[in-house]
Amino acid sequence: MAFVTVNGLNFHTQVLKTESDRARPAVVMVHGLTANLAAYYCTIANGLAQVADVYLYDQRGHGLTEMPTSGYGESDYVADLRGLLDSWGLDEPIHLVSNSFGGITALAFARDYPTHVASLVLIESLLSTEGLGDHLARELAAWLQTGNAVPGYKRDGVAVHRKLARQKRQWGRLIRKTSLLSDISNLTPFATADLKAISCPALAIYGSSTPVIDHIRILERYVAKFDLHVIEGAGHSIMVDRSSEVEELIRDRLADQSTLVKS
Amino acid sequence: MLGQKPRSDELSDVATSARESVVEMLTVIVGEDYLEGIEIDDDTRFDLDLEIESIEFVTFAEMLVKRYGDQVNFIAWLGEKELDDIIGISVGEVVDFIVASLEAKGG
Repeated sequence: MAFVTVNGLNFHTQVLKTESDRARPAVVMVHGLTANLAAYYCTIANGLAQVADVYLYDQRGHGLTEMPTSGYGESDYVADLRGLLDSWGLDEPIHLVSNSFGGITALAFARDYPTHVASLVLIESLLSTEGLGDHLARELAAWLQTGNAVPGYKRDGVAVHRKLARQKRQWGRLIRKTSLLSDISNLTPFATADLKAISCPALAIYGSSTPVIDHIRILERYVAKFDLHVIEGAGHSIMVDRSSEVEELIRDRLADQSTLVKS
Repeated sequence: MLGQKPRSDELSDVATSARESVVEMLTVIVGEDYLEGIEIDDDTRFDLDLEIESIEFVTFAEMLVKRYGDQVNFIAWLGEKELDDIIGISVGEVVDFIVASLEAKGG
C-alpha cells in the first residue's frame, strides 16, 4: 500500500492517474470526520481520474493512517496536507476538494497557503463557526454510546456485522483514546478576515435540504469568487446519493479552470 | 502470443487463474477467521456476503493493480461505475473484467 511519512505519521494515500499526453490538473481531496479516502475512491475519484491526477489520503486517525493520541486541531490537519503536497512533489497550485468536516482543513489551507490553491470545491463542507466544535464533539460522543450494541464478527457461527463492528472499533478508539473530541471542541471559528483571505475561486456543492445551510450563507457572503450549486432533493450525503452529479460539476469546473488558465 | 486471440481453453485457464488470485486477495483482506464456513465463488458479493469495508475495497483494488499492472485498468473500470454497482460487485464480475482486459491485451 502507498504510505508516506509526514509530520512523523504514516499516511495512507492513493494517487490515481491515467495515461495522458497532456498536462492534467492536480486534484487533492480531503474527507470528512469518521470517514476515509474511500469516501472519494468509491464515488467520484476514479471518474475524475480520467481527466485529472487525483490525490487521496486518510487524515490522521482515519482509515489506514496512523492514529496519534493527540494533535487533531485545525493546524495539525493543515500541516499534514502541506507535508503531503511536498511528498507528492506537487509544486503547482492544486484544486482542493473537501467534503463535510474536510472543509475545515480545506478552507484553513486556502487561507494559509493561497498561492498553493488554484480552486476550492466544497462539497457539503463545514465552516468552522462559533459552537460547531462543541456540537460535533457532542454528536460524536452520543454516537459512540450507540456503538455498544454492535455485535462482533460472528453470531452462532454466522458472520454478521463485520463491517459495522470494525468501523465502531476504529472510531471508538479514535474518540476514546485520542484528544479528538477536546481538539474539535477547541476549533477556532473562522473570522470574516479569514474568509476574505480566500482568494481562489470556490465552487460549493450542497443539497437543497442540507442541515449546514448556514455555512453556505456565510461563505457566499465573504468569499469573493464563490459559485453555489444546489442539488435539489439532496441532503448532506450527496457524495453517496448523488455522486454522478457531483462528479460532473467538478469535471465542468476543472474544464472551466483549464480554459481560464489558457486564456 | 501478443495480438493473437487466445483459444477457449486458454481463456478458461486465465479465468481460473484470475479467480484464484481474487479469492486469495479477498482472503487476505477479510481474514480466514471470518471466512470460516464461507466459500468464495463467482456469486459472492463484496458487500452483502463478505461485508468488505470501503477502505478494504481500496486495498483490494491496489492489490489488483499490483498483480496485473497496466494489463488491467481497474481505475477506468471503476470510474464508469455508480456507487451502487461498486458496493454490489461480485467476484464473478471482477474475474470477467480481468479476463476481458487480459484478452484485449493479447493474453
